[in-house]
Amino acid sequence: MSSRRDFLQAFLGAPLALGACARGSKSRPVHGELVDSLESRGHGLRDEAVLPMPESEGDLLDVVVVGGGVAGLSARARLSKAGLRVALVEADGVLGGTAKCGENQGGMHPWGAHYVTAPLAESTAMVRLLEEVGVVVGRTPSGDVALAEECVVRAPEERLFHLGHWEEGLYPRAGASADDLAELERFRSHVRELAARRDGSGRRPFIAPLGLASSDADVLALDGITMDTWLAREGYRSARLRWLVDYACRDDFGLRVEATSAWAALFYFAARSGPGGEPRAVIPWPEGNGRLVAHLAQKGAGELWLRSFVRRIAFAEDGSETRVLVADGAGDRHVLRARRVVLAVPRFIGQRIVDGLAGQGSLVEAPSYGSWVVANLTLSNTFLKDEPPIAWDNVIHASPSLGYVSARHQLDARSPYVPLTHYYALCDADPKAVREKLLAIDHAGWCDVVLRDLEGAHPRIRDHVERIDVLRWGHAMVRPIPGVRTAAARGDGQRPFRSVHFAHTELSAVALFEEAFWHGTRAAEEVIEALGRPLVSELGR
Amino acid sequence: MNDGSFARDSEASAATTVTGARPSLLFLNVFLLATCGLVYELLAGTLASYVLGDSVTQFSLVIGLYLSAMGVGAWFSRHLDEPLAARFVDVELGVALFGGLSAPMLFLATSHVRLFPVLLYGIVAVVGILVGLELPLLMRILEGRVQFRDLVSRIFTFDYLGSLAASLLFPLLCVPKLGLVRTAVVFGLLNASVALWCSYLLADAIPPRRLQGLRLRAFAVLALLVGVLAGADAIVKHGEEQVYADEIVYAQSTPYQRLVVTRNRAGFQLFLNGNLQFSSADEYRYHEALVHPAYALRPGAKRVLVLGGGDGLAMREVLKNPSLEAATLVDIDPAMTNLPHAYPPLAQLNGHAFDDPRVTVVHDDAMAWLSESATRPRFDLAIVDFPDPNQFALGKLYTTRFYNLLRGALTPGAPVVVQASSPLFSREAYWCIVRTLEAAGFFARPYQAHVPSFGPWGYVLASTAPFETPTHLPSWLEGKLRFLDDPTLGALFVIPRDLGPMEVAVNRLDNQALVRYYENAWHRWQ
Repeated sequence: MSSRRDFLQAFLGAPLALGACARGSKSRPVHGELVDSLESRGHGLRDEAVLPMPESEGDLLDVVVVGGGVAGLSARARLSKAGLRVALVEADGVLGGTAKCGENQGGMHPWGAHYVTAPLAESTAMVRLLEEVGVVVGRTPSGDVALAEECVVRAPEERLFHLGHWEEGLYPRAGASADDLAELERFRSHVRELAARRDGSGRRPFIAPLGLASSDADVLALDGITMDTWLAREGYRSARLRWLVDYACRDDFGLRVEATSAWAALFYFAARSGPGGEPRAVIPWPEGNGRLVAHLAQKGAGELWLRSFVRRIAFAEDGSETRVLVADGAGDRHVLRARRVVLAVPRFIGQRIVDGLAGQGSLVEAPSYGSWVVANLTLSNTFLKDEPPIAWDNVIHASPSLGYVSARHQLDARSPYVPLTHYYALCDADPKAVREKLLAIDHAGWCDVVLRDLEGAHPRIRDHVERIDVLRWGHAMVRPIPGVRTAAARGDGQRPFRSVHFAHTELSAVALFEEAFWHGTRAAEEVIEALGRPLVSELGR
Repeated sequence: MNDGSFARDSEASAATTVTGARPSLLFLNVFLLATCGLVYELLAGTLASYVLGDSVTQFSLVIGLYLSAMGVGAWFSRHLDEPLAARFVDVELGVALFGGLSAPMLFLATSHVRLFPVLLYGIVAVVGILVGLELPLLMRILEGRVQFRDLVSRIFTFDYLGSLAASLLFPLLCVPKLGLVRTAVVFGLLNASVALWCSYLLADAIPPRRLQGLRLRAFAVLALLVGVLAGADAIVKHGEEQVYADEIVYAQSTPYQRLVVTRNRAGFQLFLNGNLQFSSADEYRYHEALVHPAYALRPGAKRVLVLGGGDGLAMREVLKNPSLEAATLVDIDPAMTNLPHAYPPLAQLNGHAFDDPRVTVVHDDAMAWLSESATRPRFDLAIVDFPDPNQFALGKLYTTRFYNLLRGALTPGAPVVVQASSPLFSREAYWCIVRTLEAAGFFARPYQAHVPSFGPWGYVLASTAPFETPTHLPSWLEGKLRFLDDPTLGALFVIPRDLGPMEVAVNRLDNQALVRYYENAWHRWQ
């Protein structure tokens, strides 16, 4: 049993792990599977030698998009709209990257990113996209976007299991002193101030996408320190406020408050605030951002290469064409010829496949990525019987996990199942060690971690479990440690390399749908321009 | 061997020392024990009827099982040997423990449909067996100390008198004043006290080295029961102590709610999750006021939609319209629309509404069903009769989103009526429903009717087209109503000052403001 305890202790901490093993809570085997996260196949390719590039007589495409996440799909949609011939290559069997979704008997569920915040009116491309999917239905008298009621997260939105009870909202309120509450209020007014700030052209310092943000030097300077340092500097001492901020850092970035850039942590709060500092509405879908992924995929046209790895991107001597070597699901190799390439994958992959890119030195240094584990639980709806009403987002204060969201929250249809999506960000150790640990875990082990974690708030949850599917994300999201935003803001990473244009959230330093959509659209518009097509930008810069 | 000789010795000495006083005190104990025993039986029968429904069957089963278990106990008593007095006290402590904890344990198990009957009959059997041991043991203890003919006569006299006391105390004092959980614990405490007392009364018949252990056990049982008594509130809250004033004639737990029908001299009543839905004595006031003001706006309505109202009583009123061609009723709970079958007096009361060929019954979430309206013919009148918005699952059926969906199911200008809770007890909630209908683009007119079971009750008449307050009922209703006539119809729309408008938020899916208003209001009144 000691290995089980070590395992639980590694992920849940000693008290929870000891509790589990002392009680000897024998876990029934749980149905479900470990969903392939590409890590094993991807790592196998890492150390192979550079492959020869065969000749090809295939058609010359306008663009090959590498990567079928939100950035790649956004680029493809924009390029298709401009009438260009596009092919997209994606290593996974489904589209979406970290915004992909799945489905089982319990209905659809997210595997990663699962909501967007109501866009500000100035974020015109996002507003248009959300109009297309029926979320934005007009304008309010004050000029803000009007949202379809059924698309906004339903009440109760968030709750926190704290000191043995569920509290509404995420701030640990029970037992808070007057000083605690005063600090919370001071922090909120701090955030309101940052959200209300405008530069000479009326731009905000914190907005998603960051392509629309002002570049105030004092705001960017926040990227030089950690959030921990910032809190101390500003005289925040409340342990409760610190917990809230730490949770925000873990939830959005997979980092602890000690490691997160103060700029990023404040971005989390301020970018989710409206013009008056009020919180923006949250737009979730049962399948998470899979809804937007499907919409973007349907907007684009052209060949889709799924389960296919791009092994090498080479350039013709005369610059007339770019060749993309693709290994398909069967292992067969193909060469795609294109005039331009949009590289919508992390830089650490790009360096390995694009001829000459690795030699570009410090300009294109790859940022580090965090690891996450997402578990989709399918419970029998008997679970709901003895429970207070579940919120959309449910967090356990004493837990190192991020809690769970309920995909059923937005639905009215009756179902015998309750799907819950449990998120865990591996924040604590250095990313490489964590990743190795992550890949060593198996399905049964992770089910044990998830159930042990949830038993803190739902002691009988095991009785209701029908199945649990687990996805380990080795490289989930860019980690905004101090300095990453500063480098991103210089924009070096966005500059094309020969015929390759870059589109990825790491170019913003925060992994949000809005950033991926922005960079995909931006890179596509660069290509449209480079190919000499007429361009009316949709970015609203 | 020592034990046996000791027992004989003490018995011999007891026989010489027990005088008339002690046996008579023991007969008092017989009286008390009989009271306790019957109270446990009545508790079990009552709880069985509450949770499993069908009180005739449940009481019959519980009494039969209990009496036969007593027979088992009596049979088994012959196998118990000396020291009988000590065994008697232990049996009493067992009765106190199981009887005293019976209702608390059963309450905690009310939500476990499969566990509950097992626990219930198990407890009834155990308590029955232990109670069955009591009298045979006591008779053997007193054998030789009292003349046999006196012994039999007195024991049974006090036993039967004790039962009488229980049968009077239980309905008159225990259930109304204490509730089921506390009744069980209080009688458990009484029972354990009697056991402790007996350990003194019979001290000379109990080996001294056993005495201490017995009394320790007695104090432990007493302490445990006192602890449970202190936690009784929490147990009651966890379970569902619905002390219905009247006899329960039907009860069923469904995935959505708990249905209970009670009956008294005035008629019968339906409760959902403990909340009164109607009383057959005055429901005609509620349902006439619900349906006919809308008909007064559209006397020739041909297609009518009823959302909620699974008891069929609103449908009874809807069907009075001779030009009606089709009426659709949407209720999430099949058990609810099946209730007239399961409890025929309801079918009689709703005029067998669901057997009318014009009626279609749909079992679905009304919101989910309305979101698919585009494919259906539209309705020219809608009755919205959901339970009060006391939880989020109901609160969503009162949101702007819901009313927008409803509008999509209606012909332009179709009248809609919404039951809107009490404008007196939950005035903010009432006006929140009015404002929400307005925010969803309806013209809304509040009105209220007096329903004795509820007090003043609120409704909202609404339409997407502007309309005048109705003053005349359709002519086809002539002679068909007990409550409404034209002057009364007009009076419904007069809102007294203390029920008047308030500043309230609009109820939306993302704020569920109504549920919060409603909760706050009822907290104030309770």
